[in-house]
Amino acid sequence: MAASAAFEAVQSELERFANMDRWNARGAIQLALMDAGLEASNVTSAQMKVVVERLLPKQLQSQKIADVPNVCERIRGALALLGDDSRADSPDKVFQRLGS
Amino acid sequence: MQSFSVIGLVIYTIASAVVGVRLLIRANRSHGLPELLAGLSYIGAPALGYPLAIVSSQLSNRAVATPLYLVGETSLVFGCCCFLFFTVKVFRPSAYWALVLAAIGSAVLTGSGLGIIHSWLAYTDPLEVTAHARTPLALMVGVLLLSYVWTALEGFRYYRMMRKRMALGMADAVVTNRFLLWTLSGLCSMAWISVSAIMLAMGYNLARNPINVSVTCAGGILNTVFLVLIFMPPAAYTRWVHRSARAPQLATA
Repeated sequence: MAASAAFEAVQSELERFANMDRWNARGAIQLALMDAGLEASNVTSAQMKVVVERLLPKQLQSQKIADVPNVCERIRGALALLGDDSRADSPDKVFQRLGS
Repeated sequence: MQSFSVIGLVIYTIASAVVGVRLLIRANRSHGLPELLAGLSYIGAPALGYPLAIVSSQLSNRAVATPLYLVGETSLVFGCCCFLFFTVKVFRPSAYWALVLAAIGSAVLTGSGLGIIHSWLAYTDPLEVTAHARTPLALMVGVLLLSYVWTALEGFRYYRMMRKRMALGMADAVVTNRFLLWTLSGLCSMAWISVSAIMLAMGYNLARNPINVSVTCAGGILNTVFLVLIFMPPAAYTRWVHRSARAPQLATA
């Protein structure tokens, strides 16, 4: 299943600045997303910012990544460039519309 | 028991029709496929199909009963197919396996619907109709049971995800609650379809058996409550959900 642009951006930054390989990076993000109740296919940049702020540092520390605050700062910068990518229909958006 | 069945059927029919029409109006404005599928599903199955199938099977005049039965059975099958594709579109939009499952389910529903209609047209004695419709009806009930199991599982999976999001301030309490109600609605439908499956296995006519019709109608009334709370929630209910969601946070503050 294809991952969202926000997911790909975080993965790319982890590969560049945390020296993680593709699968380790994806695994760390997936675990953080699971803790947040989000899915790789439709996570938005706004949601990903919260994940990077609150959950990803713990995942990176558990993988002994050096200078986690700096890595997360760079990821936040990359996410800021993405802008609003929340056009895709997710179940929560559908259910919000259905009951409004 | 008969009057209870009628009351339950009427309440569920009216509520489903209101919800269905509202969803179709919303689909017309938003051009959203989920709204369209849900609207067609509620109009097709509980608002039109099921009551017509029940009422026509009680009529003694075949000239009146047959067209009603044909419209009812066709609407029922169409509504159930829309419901399957609603689940796919909302919860598994990019999963090929889900699309294939919905297509197979719809094919079985259509085939069993044709089988049931054939029995109705080929025989006039209700006992013979029941006997010859048993196999296609069993198939239809089986697919419906599985579709509600799927609905409940998807609803509960997403409800758990939304609870985690709420803890991080990323989800609205009312929308989160809607997934719980959707799960409960799926479980409720699953329960009454299970009763139908048991009655069918015991050789009863589902449309004429008072226990089956009563259980279906009790489930229908309960489902009406869920439909209202999901699609037309009263302001008092949404306030209560918001208050309930805030209470644990205040307690830990």
